Amino acid sequence: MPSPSEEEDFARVLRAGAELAPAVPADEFALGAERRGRRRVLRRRIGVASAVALVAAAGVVPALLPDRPKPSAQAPAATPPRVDDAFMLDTLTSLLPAGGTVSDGQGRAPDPNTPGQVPQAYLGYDDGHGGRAQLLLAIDLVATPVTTDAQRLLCYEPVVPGSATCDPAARPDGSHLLTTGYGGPGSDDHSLSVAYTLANGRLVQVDEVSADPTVKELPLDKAKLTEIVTAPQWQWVFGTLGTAPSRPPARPAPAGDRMLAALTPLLNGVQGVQLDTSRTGTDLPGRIRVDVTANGRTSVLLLSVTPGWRRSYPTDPQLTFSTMHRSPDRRPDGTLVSSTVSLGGAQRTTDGGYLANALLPDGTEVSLRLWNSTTGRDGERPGDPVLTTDQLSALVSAPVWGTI
Amino acid sequence: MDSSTTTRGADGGPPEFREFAVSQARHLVRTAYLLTGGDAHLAEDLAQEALGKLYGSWRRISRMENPAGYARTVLVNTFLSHRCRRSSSERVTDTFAEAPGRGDDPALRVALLGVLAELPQQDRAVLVLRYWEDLGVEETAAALRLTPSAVRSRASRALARLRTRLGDQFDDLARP
Repeated sequence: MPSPSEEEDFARVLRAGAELAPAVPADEFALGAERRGRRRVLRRRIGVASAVALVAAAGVVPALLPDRPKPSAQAPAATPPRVDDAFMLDTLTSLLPAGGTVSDGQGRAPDPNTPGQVPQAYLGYDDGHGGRAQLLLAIDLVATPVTTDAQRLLCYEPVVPGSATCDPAARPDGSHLLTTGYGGPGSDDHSLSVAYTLANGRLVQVDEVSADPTVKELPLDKAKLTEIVTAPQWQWVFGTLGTAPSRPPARPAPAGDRMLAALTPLLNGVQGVQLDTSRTGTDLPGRIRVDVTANGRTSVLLLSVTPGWRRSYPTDPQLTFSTMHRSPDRRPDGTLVSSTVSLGGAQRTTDGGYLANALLPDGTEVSLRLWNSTTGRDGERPGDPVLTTDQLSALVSAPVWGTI
Repeated sequence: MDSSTTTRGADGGPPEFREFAVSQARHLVRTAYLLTGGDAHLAEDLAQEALGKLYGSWRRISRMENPAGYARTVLVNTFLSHRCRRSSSERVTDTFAEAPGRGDDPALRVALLGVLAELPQQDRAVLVLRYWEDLGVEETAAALRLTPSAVRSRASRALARLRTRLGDQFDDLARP
């Protein structure tokens, strides 16, 4: 049995190892997690649907899709149709290849009483040749002007080599297609997703998830999914969603050296604080890492500056910031500021530190994280960070971040 | 689709899921990084997969006393059940580590991760839960469905092996 001191030693060793873990862009990472969660939900639904079909085989017959003209050749009706749950499901069904069968379908129309609810349709599809998948189509708005650097239109999924693909494409008419695939050797998750975003901010996305993990080929390929999301029928749905908000395009994330140049005078204004740039990391736009020393103790500071934070989402970024950070302070100039003490996942880890975030009036989000100092007062535990949360709040809310 | 708002999200989306995922991302990746013995790609993959598993039941999970602890358990189980997706021994160590600078040699930490990777998966999970997540023996046993005595013996055996393999490097890392 290891002694308590050996256990303490090993805890420190593990913490040292964990420091090499990659930094993940948390927002995009969470978005990817949500996508994976949706795929899992879809797989579960098709599983349930299959079980129901077996139990009630005599009574439940999936709808056989008839031969018909290609959906792309169909123009929307001159008279606006009634966009209800059935419209959502029927439209998706009508866009599938003839000869297959659909089952377990549901549609959800826009609901004025729940304005945040995304209209969608989902169903199980069997192509009759061994290919079975679950489809989820959803409709939403993206703030205009639509730019390829919008967070929602970026590729991000952790890449296990050979298992994930992502293909963003701008089209001549100003629309964008983002195609992502997942599933490779050893993966039990084969899926394909196509998101189609028009220049006016209308977004139609379809996710296809294999209902049979052992079958690598999905019944609908990228071209077919593209045909589905670009079908003109979906434009009727947007009539009840309103107009996509318009927000100024975000400027590019500032280069690390410019951020450092802006940060240095701010820190020099704090009494007793010295900036050590010998291990500065400036290799990613919008992010730098520096050592900060005060009274013989050193903390590491990570600064992120994100112009146009969440500008592409329909929801006002200020509302989102307030929701994420509970009750941020609102400064006279409209800047929202939040600071917290993070204890990390466990009391003894060095995972703690101080966090501060600000959303400037121009939409730039500034984030600071200051880790505990590497020198603890008792020589055993990490010491407090060398700046206070108030000092961090002053740093993140400095107007300079909106100008670089 | 936007689920950052209070009501958005496909499937009637769990409203606070995205916030939770953002808040847990870094810690889960670091835990996974240790579990995988320093495989950065796989660590991200496992951590995200674990969060994805919470998504469908988020309404229930969000009402738990400790959703973060539940996420950790899901991550460990995901790690223990994942199929080896690649045989390469590649380790990514040149990423922009979101980490405090330390005076010690990064090579020591890479060596640690290499030795960690040589341990049986369940031993690694025991070590990570006990000494990174700071769980007690009983909690670790419950999370891994082992007996407390099995946790103690695995921890003891794994630590001894790490000490042997790392030699003086162990002390260099523990007391820089």
